[in-house]
Amino acid sequence: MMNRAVKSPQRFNSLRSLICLLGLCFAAKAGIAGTVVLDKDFPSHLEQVAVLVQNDADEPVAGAQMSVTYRPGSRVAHTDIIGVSGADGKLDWTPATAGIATITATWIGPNLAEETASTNVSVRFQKLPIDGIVIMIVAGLILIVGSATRMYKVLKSPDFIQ
Amino acid sequence: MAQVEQRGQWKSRAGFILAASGSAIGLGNIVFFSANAYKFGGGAFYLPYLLALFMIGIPIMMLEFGLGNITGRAFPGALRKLAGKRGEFVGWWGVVNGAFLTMYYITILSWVLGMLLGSLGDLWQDSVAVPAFGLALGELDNPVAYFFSMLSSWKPLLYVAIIWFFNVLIVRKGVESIEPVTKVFVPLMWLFMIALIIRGVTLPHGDQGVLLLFTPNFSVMRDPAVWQGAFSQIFFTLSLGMGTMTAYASYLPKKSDLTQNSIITSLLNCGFEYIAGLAIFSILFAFMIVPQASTLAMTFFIIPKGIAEFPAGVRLFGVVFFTLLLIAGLTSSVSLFETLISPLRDKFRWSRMKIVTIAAMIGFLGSACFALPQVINPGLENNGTLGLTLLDLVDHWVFSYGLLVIGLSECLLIGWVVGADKIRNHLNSSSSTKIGRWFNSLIRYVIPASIIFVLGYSVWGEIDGGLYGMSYAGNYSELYRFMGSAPVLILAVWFLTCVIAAALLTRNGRYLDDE
Repeated sequence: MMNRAVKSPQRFNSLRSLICLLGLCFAAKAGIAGTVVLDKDFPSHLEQVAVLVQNDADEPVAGAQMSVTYRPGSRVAHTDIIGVSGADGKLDWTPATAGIATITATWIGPNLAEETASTNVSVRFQKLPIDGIVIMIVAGLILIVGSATRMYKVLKSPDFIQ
Repeated sequence: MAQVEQRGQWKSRAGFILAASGSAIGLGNIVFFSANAYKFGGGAFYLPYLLALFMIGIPIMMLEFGLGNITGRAFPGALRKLAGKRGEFVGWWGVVNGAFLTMYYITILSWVLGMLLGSLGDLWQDSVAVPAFGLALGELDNPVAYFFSMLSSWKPLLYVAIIWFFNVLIVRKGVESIEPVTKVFVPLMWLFMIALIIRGVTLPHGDQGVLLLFTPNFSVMRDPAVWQGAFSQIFFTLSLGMGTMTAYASYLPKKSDLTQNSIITSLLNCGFEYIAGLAIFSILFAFMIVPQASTLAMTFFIIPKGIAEFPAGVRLFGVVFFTLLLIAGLTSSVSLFETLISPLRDKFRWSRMKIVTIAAMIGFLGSACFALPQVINPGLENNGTLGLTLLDLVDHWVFSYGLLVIGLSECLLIGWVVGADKIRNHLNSSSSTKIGRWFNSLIRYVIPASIIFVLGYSVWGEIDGGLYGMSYAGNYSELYRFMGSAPVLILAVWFLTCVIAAALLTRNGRYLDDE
């Protein structure tokens, strides 16, 4: 099963508001350059997958530069070069970390303009991350168990005005 | 005692805590925490976040509860009683700043209502044209297209009127009418969120989203932006620096366990963020969607985009999600509105209905400005419509600076002028948990230093990147070129309105117990 590709990549322009309410992302349609398709929907961390680049006419693109950005849009985002697609438009990629990543392919189109296609991919954890589980439990104990036990006492306490 | 009865009083401790937590839990809790956690290294964000909760959030919550309860007055009146006219001026500044926030918050809620109606049908179409933006834009994918179609029409004005009507209805009798509503709405909010979690984690690969949320990347800990993000998140998520908690606590009986109430309210708020993160991350991971660090983008585009991919029950979960947002937003907007009504009643002693009606009418006009549908940025490089552009610019100053400046002033006044001991002794006199002298140090040194750090970081960003909103100038259509100077104008209007209104309100009127 092939991963759903981003046919019409959206351009997001995040306004830099410090806090909660704004910083909208607006999406306007960019030109459709092609698609990036993976041979597996949800690859696992360190599991090799084949990435296929196709142009608008769904033909494989040879010589496309491919890169991957792990956790795009975050403070820990980092981009690795995957390599160049072969004659069949394919290239093997092994995810270096679990989480959400964006794969981008860039090539020179027939009218000598640079064309780009990209897709997001969710990379599964290869095994349960112990540090993540510990943080989930500790934070849950503090926030959920802490509030629930205190709220239980409140509900048992008499009202101000009966 | 007579005045307490006249002002009203919470009937139950549970009612008060539900109302206070309902006030704190708003749109930001549901989506913004998740966006921040993603942005700042997943599980690693929990360390500065929890530290900020216990070092800043809960102590200021205690301070604001204490202020209201010790004086039996809303924010400006409470600060007047303890710190004199300087204090009252700071209090009114906070209230006026909060009034701006109430106006645009209600506009945002009106869009939520519009999206809720859309989630019954049109919102889930693949892509449509948005005629008001001209043909150049072509068709946009939903939910973006639906959102901007709505914004570029006059429909939100009707929705604004409806949301204001509900606010008036709930606030008209003060805590007497607020308490029963929050007793239903807040538990309902938790139920809806639990429904979303169950749906999220049972999606194929949804459980992996939960692991993504909590798995840390500790490399971010040296980045000051992460600490700034955590401090800001806690300050804003708990509705501090607005006087809301002081207004609510002023309706509590004197012998209330304020310390425990502060802890429970804060934990409930942050606990809600915790479970919201489970729902949001599982949906995002399952559908390979990259979160954005923006409440509105997450609310109106990103999460609905995920819901649209559900294998079944798209409309049902769309309705659940937007109803959840509407309820969470209403419990917050009601508290914001009450924060404005309560001090005006304290000082001018008009009938509640008179103040509620006048304030709602002025508020409606303000909210209507943020719903103006004129398309000023047809290419959608920035905000698209006039109303949204105004909202963006006003929000920047109200939220990024106004609340923090008020919070800082409040801590400096109590810590250095009044003496934090006064509040601490009051808290200890009626609370089961006694707090030590560390509270004084937090109020005097630690919290002001933290707020100055956050403010300084924001000001540095402004100096480094230019005044917020100035970069939009090149994208306005010919007719709206004048909007290029809007950022400066909005800053001046916001600042002068706050200062002049605070000065006038401080000078005029008289408190009953001052006579």
